[in-house]
Amino acid sequence: MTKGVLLFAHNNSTVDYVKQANFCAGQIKKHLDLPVCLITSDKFNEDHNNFNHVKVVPKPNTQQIKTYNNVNEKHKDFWNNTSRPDAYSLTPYDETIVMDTDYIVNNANLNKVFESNEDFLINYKAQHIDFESRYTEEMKYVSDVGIEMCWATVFYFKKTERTKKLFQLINHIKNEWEFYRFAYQIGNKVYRNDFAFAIAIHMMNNFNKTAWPKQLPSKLFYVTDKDSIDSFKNNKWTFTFERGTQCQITDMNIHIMNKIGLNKIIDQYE
Amino acid sequence: MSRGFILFVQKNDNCDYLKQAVACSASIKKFMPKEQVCLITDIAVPDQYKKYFDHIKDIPGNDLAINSDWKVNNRCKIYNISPFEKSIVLDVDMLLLENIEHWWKQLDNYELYYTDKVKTYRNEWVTNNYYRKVFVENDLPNVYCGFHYFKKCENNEQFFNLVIDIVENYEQYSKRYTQNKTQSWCSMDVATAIAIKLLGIQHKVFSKHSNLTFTHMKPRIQNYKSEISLWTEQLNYDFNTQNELFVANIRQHGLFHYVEPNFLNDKIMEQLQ
Repeated sequence: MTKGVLLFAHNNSTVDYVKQANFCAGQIKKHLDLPVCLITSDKFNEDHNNFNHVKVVPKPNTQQIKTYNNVNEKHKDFWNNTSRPDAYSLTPYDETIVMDTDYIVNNANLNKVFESNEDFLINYKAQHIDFESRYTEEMKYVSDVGIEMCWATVFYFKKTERTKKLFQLINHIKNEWEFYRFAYQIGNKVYRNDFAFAIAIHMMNNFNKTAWPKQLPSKLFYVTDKDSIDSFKNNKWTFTFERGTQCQITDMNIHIMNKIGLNKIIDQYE
Repeated sequence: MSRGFILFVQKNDNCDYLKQAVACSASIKKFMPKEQVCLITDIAVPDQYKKYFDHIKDIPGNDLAINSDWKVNNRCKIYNISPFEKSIVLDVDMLLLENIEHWWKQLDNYELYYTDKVKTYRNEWVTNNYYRKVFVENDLPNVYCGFHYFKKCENNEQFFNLVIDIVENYEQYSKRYTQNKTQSWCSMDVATAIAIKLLGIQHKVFSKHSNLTFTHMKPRIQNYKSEISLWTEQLNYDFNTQNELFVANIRQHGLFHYVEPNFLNDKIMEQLQ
């Protein structure tokens, strides 16, 4: 069985996702020792990169706008991360970990997914590393009255009939987003992978919560785009939170939602 | 041994409880057609509704709810009125959503069973005490009478006699057992909780592991961030032709305590009948 990590990167004028993906792939190689496949519609440095495979796909043209924050800085730009539901058909591996390019691996915990008998693993909860933030509680459900949230930031799947159907369903939900966001009482019009995954899992479970899929063996910790990223050195991240508290973490996987700040750090790191 | 469901309805000016009892009984018979249902009521049941009940019994004795708008006090008499040796009692504003034959087998292990935990429509255990302050403040067992079970036996005769005594003398019991926070009106939940505490039978009537409970739709316990007063106005719900109930697209199972009378719309009534 082949194993590897799949990254999606479609640049816009605010964030160089390919650069982020390259940094992310470097961390994957260092800590997980897995091959990395990049799915992109953009140019990349063919001579100097951390990717084992690259698949070039057409640029998704969703016309969805996202606000990118870097603490107090605000940028609005197109958001092109809608090809993630195609992970099943695009992956060159039998067993795949898919992660956002701003999910930075800093330990080998995720390798435990390959020891499980599960065909799909994902996180239902995300935890801000300050352990105080209201975001964690606020993001428990897809909406105030809706189903439980899940996080497509990082997930694992094995190619099986069930996961094939799951990804077909996620694609269908993406294509019929207006209907599904109404059915699940989601106020926000913008398509979001996390919601589509949560809905598909809910539907696959006959509109209930069941023991499938189980959680990843690694808790999803995050910092937001209102938190400042100060440095990254020797596996140690330093952040300054929105409320002014400074924090350091070592050897922890972390989802850094401040993409602009992350890219600035990557520039320094390189 | 005979067994069946008990529904209790007393005439009142606020709500059509009889219609709710018809819907509840119809839902039981949808999934368990052979199940017996007994309606205890002081209402003259119209002919078109009689087919939904196998037994219709009058409420005997003095009216204990004469000064109450919420006509539930006489529910304490159900033990003596029930025609069954084993009875499941349900609030009438409930629907049964699946066959629960296996519940009877589990309940056979008990003389008397109450649930002390209920679920949200998202299938989470309710942890919010918003409606349960009297219980928390007075260290009363967190009993929900919306669904309970009893066998005819000596212990239960004693238990229900005590419940009747508490209802009849609620003011005195209330002063003594709900000193920290008092509810001026007598609810069956509080009266039953006092009886269970007085007899010290918590370990016999509750289960830590059992899933025999119901989905409770009171809004403040649903883990909403916003203040929702009528869930029927905020959440999509659909009772489809396969008799499956979806609330916010989440399929409901077991016993569903809908609380809001307007939930029982014409479409659902038609579907149940």
